Formats: sequence, C-alpha cells, structure tokens
Amino acid sequence: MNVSPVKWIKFRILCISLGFVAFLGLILHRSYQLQIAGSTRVDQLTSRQYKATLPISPRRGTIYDRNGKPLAVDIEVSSLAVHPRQITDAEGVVSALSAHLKIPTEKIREKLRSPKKFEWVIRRIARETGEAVASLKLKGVTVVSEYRRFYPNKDLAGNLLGAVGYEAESLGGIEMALDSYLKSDSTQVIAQKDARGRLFTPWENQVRSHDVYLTLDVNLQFIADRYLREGAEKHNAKSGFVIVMNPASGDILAMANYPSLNPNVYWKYSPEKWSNHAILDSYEPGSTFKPVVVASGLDSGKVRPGDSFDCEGGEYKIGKRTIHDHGAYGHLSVSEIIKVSSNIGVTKIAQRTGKNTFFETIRKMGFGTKPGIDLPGEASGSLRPLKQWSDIDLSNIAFGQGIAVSGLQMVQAYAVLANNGIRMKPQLVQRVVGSEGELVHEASPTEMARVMGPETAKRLTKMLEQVVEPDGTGGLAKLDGYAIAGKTGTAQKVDPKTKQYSNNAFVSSFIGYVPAEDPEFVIYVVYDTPKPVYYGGLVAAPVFKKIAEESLAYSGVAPSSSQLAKNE
Amino acid sequence: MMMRIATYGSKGPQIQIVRNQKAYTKEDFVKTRLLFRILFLVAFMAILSLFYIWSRIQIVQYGYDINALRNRRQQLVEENKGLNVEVATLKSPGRISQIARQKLKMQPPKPEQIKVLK
Repeated sequence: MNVSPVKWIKFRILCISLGFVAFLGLILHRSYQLQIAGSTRVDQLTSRQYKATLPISPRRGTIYDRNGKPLAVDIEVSSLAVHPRQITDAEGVVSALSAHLKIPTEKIREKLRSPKKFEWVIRRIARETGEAVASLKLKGVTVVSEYRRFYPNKDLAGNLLGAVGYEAESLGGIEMALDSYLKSDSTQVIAQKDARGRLFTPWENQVRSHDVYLTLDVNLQFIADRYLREGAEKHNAKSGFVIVMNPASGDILAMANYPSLNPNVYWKYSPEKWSNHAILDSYEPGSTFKPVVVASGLDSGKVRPGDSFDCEGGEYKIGKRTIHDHGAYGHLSVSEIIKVSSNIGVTKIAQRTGKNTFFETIRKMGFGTKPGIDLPGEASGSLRPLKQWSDIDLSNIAFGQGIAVSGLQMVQAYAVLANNGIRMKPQLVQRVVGSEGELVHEASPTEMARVMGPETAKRLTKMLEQVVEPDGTGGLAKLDGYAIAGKTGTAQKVDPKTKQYSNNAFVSSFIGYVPAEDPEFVIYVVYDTPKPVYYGGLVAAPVFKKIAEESLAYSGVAPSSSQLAKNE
Repeated sequence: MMMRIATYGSKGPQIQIVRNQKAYTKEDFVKTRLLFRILFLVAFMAILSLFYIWSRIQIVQYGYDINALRNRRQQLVEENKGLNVEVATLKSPGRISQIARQKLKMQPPKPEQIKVLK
C-alpha cells in the first residue's frame, strides 16, 4: 500500500508533536513534584544553602537609676580562641598573641599543644585588643565578640543589684529578680547569605532585651552607703544596712549594705558578703516597734493622748517574768513613754489596747507578710498567730521582742505614720522599656491599706518628734532647721548557743522621717552587733542625722525658718 | 502603487489590495495584525521579565548595603554605649565626692547655708 507523501509528512509532524507534548508533560509533572507536592523538602534544602543561623552572645538590658544613670550595663568585649589543628606556625602565633595579651607565652603554647579542636586562650578582654588581634589575620585564631556586665559605680548598691556570671546567668539581686526582662529573648539570629557566605538581608529574630529603670537615686544611694560604712567601721559592726524610702509613693530611693559587694569582681567575695541585709535578715526590732502599739491604742480610742500610765518604778511583774525599764519611772504620759522608751509603759498600753486590736494593727502595717518587692530571699519576718499569744507575749511584742521583722517591713510601717495612716507598697522598679524605647511596664504608687486615721498618725508624729529632743533617746539625730520624727532601738540578740538573750550582742537602730510635717524621706539605719558602744541613740542616730542632712540638701528641701529660729 | 480589486473565489467575493504588484487579502492583513500583536506581547513579557530580574538583583544589592549599614550602626551603638559607660564611671558619686573633698577641699553645706530658689 502506498502512503501519500503528504499524509506521511503529516504523520511525522504528529509524532514529533506528540513527543514534544509528552516531554512538556514530563517537565510539568516534575515541576509539580518539586514546587507543589515536595515543596517543603525543597524549601528545606534551599534554606540550608541560603539561610544562615548565627549563634550570638546573650545580652542583657541596662539597669538605670530613676534619673537615667546607668547602674549595670553590657559592654562589648572580645574573647580569643585557637583551633590547634589549623595552626601551622605555632611560634609565630605565640609571639603575635603575647605582644597584645598580658598572659605568659607558656600558657599560649599550652593551648596550641592541646589535642582539642577548639581552645579558649582568654575571655572578655577589651574590644580594641580583640580587633587588633583580628587584624593580624592569624590562621587558626578566632576572635569572638561577647558581652560582659559592667557596674560603673562599683560596689554602690552592689548587694541590691546582684551580679552576672560568665554565660550571662544572673547571680542574685535585681539581676535575678528581673531576669525575664533583662535577658535577651534569643541566642541566635537568622540571615540570608550568598554563595560566598556574605550576609545580604536584615537579620530576623533580632536580639531584644529590655532596660529597667529603678526607683533608686544613685546620689542618695551614695550618701546612705558612705555614712553607713563610716558608722560600721567606727563602731566595729558585723553588718548593717540603710533604707531610704519616699513615704507617699513607696519608692525605695536607697538601699545600702555593709559589707558591700562589688559585682565587677563578684568571685572575690564570700557568700555572706553578698547578703542584702535590708530584705533578707529577720530580727527582733526592739524599741522601734513601740510606736505600733501606741498607734493601735490611740486609733482604737482605747488610749487617749492625755492618758498616763504607772511605770512601777522600773520593774513590773507579769506572771513569772519581770519587765524592766532603763530608769525608775513613775507615771508617764503616752508621749513620755515613747520619748524615754519605757518597756513597762508600752506593756500597759498594750494591755489596755487588747491583743486583738494590737494584732490587727500589726497585720495592717504589713508585718508577718512579705512586702512584695519581689527580690530573691525577701523575708516575711515571723509573727506568731494570735491564738498562741500569752500575756507575756503581748508585752514582749509591745516592746519589740517575740516578733521578727525585716528592714523593709519596718520602713513600710513608719511610712504609714509619715503618710497620714496609709500603707503604700514598697517599689524598686519604676519602669521597663523595650529595645525600641517602647514602655513595657510602668509602676505606679499602690495603696495597700488604710491602717489608721490621719489624726492618729499626726499625734504619733508629734510624740516621735519628742524622741529627737535633747532629753530624748534620739537626741543625736536632731538636725538644725528640720523637725524629725524618729525612734531609737537597742534590741538584744539571741545567743545561738545558750538560746537566751545575749548581754553583749545587740541590734542598734534608728528609724525616722523628715521633715516631720511633710515627710520627704523615711530613713532606717541598722547595725548588727556594734561594739563597744551599742545603744541605737549613740550608734545609729548620728548616722541618720548625716544621711538626712545631705539627702535633704541634695533634694532641695529647704530648712524651716521656724525650726532654725527654735534651735537658736 | 496600490490598487483595490474585487475577486470571486471559493470563499465568495473578496476585496484585495494590490500593493507593488503583490496581492494582499483581508486575511493577510488580519494575520499580520495578529503577528504584530503576538510579537508585541512577547516583547512586553521579555521586558517585564528583565525588569523583574533587575529588581531582584537590586534587592540583593540593597540587602548587602543594608547589612553593611546595620553592622556600622551596631558598631556605633556599641561605641556610644562604651562612651556612656565611661561618662558614668567618671561621674560616679564616689569619684566626684573624692575629688571634691580631697582635691578641692569642699564640704557638704550646712542647712543654714542652703537657700532654695523656686
């Protein structure tokens, strides 16, 4: 059969066309396989080629004081490492590195002889030194950028701030309490790279950490710290602390500790030097607690300002126990009881006030619960449940024994008197700011409770002003030009061996607020076991005066002309 | 020279344009128009594609530039931070107080020496 040439041509064209169509179909099928059905796998393969995941050194945000002065900041430093197996000219590397680093050449040689693939030579040196070494382009030597925590004020507020370890881990204090804000939320960044490994797009997962502004004022902190240290060294105290607080807002303006910690070299300090005594220690407050029962009695109406109490000539028996005063007092008014710090006087006030009322006032003032400043180890003190109180407990607690308090609880309580009877929440953090400057968190003054009426607070203030008169126990706290309301405390410590009150170990304190008519500061000074002098009025009161004097001058609080005239 | 002539063929009457002794039917013109349109489309697609490729290359180049600027910015931020730390250290209350007391023989003012101006 003969096929016509035309039909044969047409047939061939058809076959070739079908062939092309089939080939096109194959291509389309393969495209579908790669780009649609298997897109995830292809994405992963290509990602590996053009995406780079770079580990970065963890960073922390800056801690500032209330005026924006840095207290703790990350600074960029360099760390040097070697890859021993890649080094061809060991002696060349040793001499090049030893010219820039202050480490023995033998130590460098030891690192180069290591069988490991990677060895740190030195960590956290100045960035400029690292750049100088990097510019040498030594084979087998790597310069890595890291961050180191630096505290420009050294040991100022060191115990409060805490420290940061080698791997940016927080080690106590504010650094630990606010770790979730301060620490960056990523330890790697993702970027696109080209065939040569150069990065060509902005990084995803940028390092973000927050900056924290504290309520602290670095200048007030310095004032408190200096005079606390002076007093501790003069009176050979084991330890001590000062808290300065604004009673109207609850802001902690200063929190000084002795001995203090320099977080820049934290490894040189033994654990007891890390303690923030102001919030960690629980102790019996002694006479500084007396205004609490007086406030309770006055506010409940069970005690009137004009009442007087028989102080039994300095000895008063309750059951098998005898309570003593420092002097053989007869009848004293409420104000005089506070002024001379009569134990018998406050015992009788407590008896008239009653356990229930007194206990309620103690609780309202914040004792027995944590003040809520959220620092690690914050103490709640110790307050026995009311149903366990005996008559002697009532009297003991009235003059500050049989109850354990923390420094912050005491400041909080006196701030009630300074703030017209309202208890404010103590605050350390003013605000938290994000990496783009956005406000993440802002604290505001928080009223916790109305503890007493404003009249009661004013009456107590007048009584506490008498303490600072020349014939009061706190006369050495008196400051020309300013009315001060305060109380001394000299509390016996319990001897851990005998479990009895010691006759030569005391907690000496003075707490007060100034100016009494419109308080700017509540200041609490405490020393543990000062020797040989131990009375609060002699050890702590003068320190209070110096701190108050400079703090008021710094804050621009003018002396009262009436007070100046009074003192003349 | 252009002429218009009428012819009758299997497809019925048709007008033809004779140009330079070559006869063009209406169909020819339609086909030519179509061809031009296709060529135009292809050229347009080609230019679009070239533009797309060019823009992608530009994006990559800008990416390099942005990265370089970002690194430079980061360097400056770190330098600035370092300087701020230096300032904070030099202005630390302890240092200032030491200079004031020891070098300049200054003392804190007494209350009666302070006049507050408001």
